[in-house]
Formats: sequence, structure tokens, C-alpha cells
Amino acid sequence: MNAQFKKGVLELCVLAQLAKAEQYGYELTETISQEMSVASGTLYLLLRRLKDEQYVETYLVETAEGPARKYYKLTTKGLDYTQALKHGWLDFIQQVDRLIQ
Amino acid sequence: MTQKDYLKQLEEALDALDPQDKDELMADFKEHFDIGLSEGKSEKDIIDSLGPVDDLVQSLDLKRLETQRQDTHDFRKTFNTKIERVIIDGVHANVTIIASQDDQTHIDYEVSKRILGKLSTDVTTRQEGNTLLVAVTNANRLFWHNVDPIDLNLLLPKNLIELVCKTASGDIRIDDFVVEHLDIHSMSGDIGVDDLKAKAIKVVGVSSDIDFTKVTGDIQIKTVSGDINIFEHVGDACNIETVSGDIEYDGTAKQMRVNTTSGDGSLKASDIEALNINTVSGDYELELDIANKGFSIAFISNSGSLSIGDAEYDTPRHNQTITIGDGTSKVNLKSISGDFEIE
Repeated sequence: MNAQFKKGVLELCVLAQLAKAEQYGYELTETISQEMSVASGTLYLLLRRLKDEQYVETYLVETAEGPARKYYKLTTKGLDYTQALKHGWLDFIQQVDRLIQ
Repeated sequence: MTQKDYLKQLEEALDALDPQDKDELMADFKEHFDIGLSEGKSEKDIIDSLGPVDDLVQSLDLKRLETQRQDTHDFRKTFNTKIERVIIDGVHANVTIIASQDDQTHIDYEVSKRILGKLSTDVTTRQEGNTLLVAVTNANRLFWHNVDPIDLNLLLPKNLIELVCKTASGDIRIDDFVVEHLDIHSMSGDIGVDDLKAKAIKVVGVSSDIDFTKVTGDIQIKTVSGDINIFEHVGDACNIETVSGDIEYDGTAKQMRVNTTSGDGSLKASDIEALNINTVSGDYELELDIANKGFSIAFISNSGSLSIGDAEYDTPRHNQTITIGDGTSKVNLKSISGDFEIE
């Protein structure tokens, strides 16, 4: 897949995953990298940007056995944005689909 | 490579970032290592899955970040040819319009700096004869919602024939300007006009607050919930339609029509000849020059109240005509349960 293109789609995938469940970074990178080959490091940069844009919030959870985990959670704004992206994406793939069939 | 090497490389590569962003990112990567190791992965596996630092930095587009830091995201476009009509589609941009000092047209815009965000918003311009079209666009067309805040400043020649300015959420400000026809549309952006000379001014808003000061020309405003303040208006006509916005007016209008559902109003119009107020529950206070002028006022209301000056006049009956002042002025009151006070 084209790198530039993948970046935009990656944002949608991350947001959609967070819409399903609040997750910590490591967990999220595992889920995403199971489906697509992506450098996990870029996900942290992406998450930081999403936080800047107030689409996600973070909170720390202490764990008994290991290090504290930073959880990511969608804001209301982030949820709206995810929906909008998703619609944009679905429209887009339909258009492409009609053109390539 | 070890965890320590990787983190050191990363720290150096992220040097262009804001220190707070850098610290947070370093903590994120450290956490990633800690969890990975606690799940039995090797440092090498973790480093492989994170990806080379160089690639990460590339995805950050540090070059662009550096230019952003140097404030070079200020743009200016200049048009030397004669422009008579300007149409602006500002979307989310805050639009400011002032008079150009050199009679040329300049468009300045500054895209707000963001730390990791990309510059996705741009401004396109197109000239068709004497008409200039200015539109805020998004470079990333697939995802229009991912937009940067932007300030769009236009220096336009005075004496334009027409100026149309539309925004969705962006505020609109017009200062010290002359135009024949001014047309403003906004959904939620606030609208401020200060020191403007026009023949006709038309505003359509939804939740925009509207502030006019020292505005010359006939005014027509239609809005849903924003408040409307008009001070030092010079012009013959002022028509206002709003659902719940409050209205404050001070000016020379001879003809005035106000239609509201629940908004209150305070109107000071000493030159008024015909005033028509139609409100469901709005309370209206009028300050008029009763002694000098013959005028007619119609106040139609369900439960709103009307007061003119400070003396009391109580007429809860329907369809009453009162003569006030020197006998040349008429006030028509129609109400179901409103109170009236008339001096």
C-alpha cells in the first residue's frame, strides 16, 4: 500500500479500535500489527497527535505485576470525528470499487 | 541494538519537538519496552516491531515542523488588477476584512502552528473578470474534518460593488470598509462589523452573535439564536428576524420591522416613522422621540410586553390604537396577555 495513503487510513483504524474499547498503547499496537504491517512506533506519534487534537484522552492505570499503563480513550469530539472519517472512508472505497470493477 | 541505544537515538531525533511532547513520547516508548519485556519479548523483537528511528522521524515530517517553528506559515497573495466583487468561502476560518491602503487586494493567512499536526488547510483564489473568489480548502480531501484552525485576513479596495462572506464556524470581522452590497452568511461564527458604509447589508446566521457599530446602510438580518446588537446605525431601514436572539438597537431607521419568538428587545430610534414588532413572548422597550415626529407603531404579541419611555400605560385589550405625543403618532397594540407601558 502507498505510504501516504496508509497513514490516513491508520488514523481511522486506531480511532475505530478505540471506539470499540479503551486500550493501552502496547495493546493497541499489538492489535493493529496483527492485521497490517506497520512500525508500532508511528502509532505512538499518531496517538500523541490525536491527543493534541483532543480526539483522545489518556489516563494511567497502575498494575500489580508490571509497569503503569497509559490508557487511551476517545473523547466525544473524537467519536464524532471517527464517525465522520468512517463515512468518508466507506464512500471513498465504494467510489473506488465502482471504478475498478 | 539495545533498548538504551534505541531510546537514546529516539531522544536525539525528537529534539525538534516541544520538550513536553518529547517527554511524553519518550515515556510512551519506555512503557512499550517495559510491557513488551514483561511479556517475555526480547529487546531486539521490540525494537524490530517499533521500527527504525529514522522512519519514525520521517513520519513526523520534522522539516515541516521546523518551518512551522520559524513562523513561515504566513502567506500573502496580492492582486494588482481591479477587483469589484469578492466572494469568500471561509468554512472554519476566522475571516477579517479591512480596507486596503494601496487599492490593491491582499490576502494574508496564517495557519496556526501545531505540534505534531500537519498543515492540511490551504486557501485557493480564483479571479473571473472583476470578481475574486477566495475559498478555504483542505489538502487532504479524503478527510475534510481534519482541519487546522486558520486566520484569513483580506485587505480589499474600498468601494467594492459586492462583498459576499460565508463561513460555517469561522468568525467574521469587517472594519472600516465601504461596499455597495454586503452579504454575510454564517452558521455559528460571530459577526462583527465596525465602521462600514454600504447601501444594503444582508446577514443570515444561525447561532451567530451579531455586533454592528457605526454601520451605514439598510440592514436586513435573519438569525435563529444569536444576539443582535446594532449601535450608531445610519440608514432608513432595519429588518430583523430572529427566534430567540435578544436585540439592541440604536440608530436612525425610519422603517423598522422586528420578528421574534422569544427574544427581548431594546430599541432607540428617534427618527422612526413606522415600527412593526411581532413577537410571541419577547419584551420590548422603546425609546422614541415622541414630541417631534409623527410615527406609527404596531406591536403584535402573545405574552410580550411593550414599554415606551417610562410612564405607565396599561391596556391588556386587543387591537387598541393609542394616540401619543402631539397627536400625529399612532401606536397599535395587539396582545393576548402582554403589558404595555407608554409615556
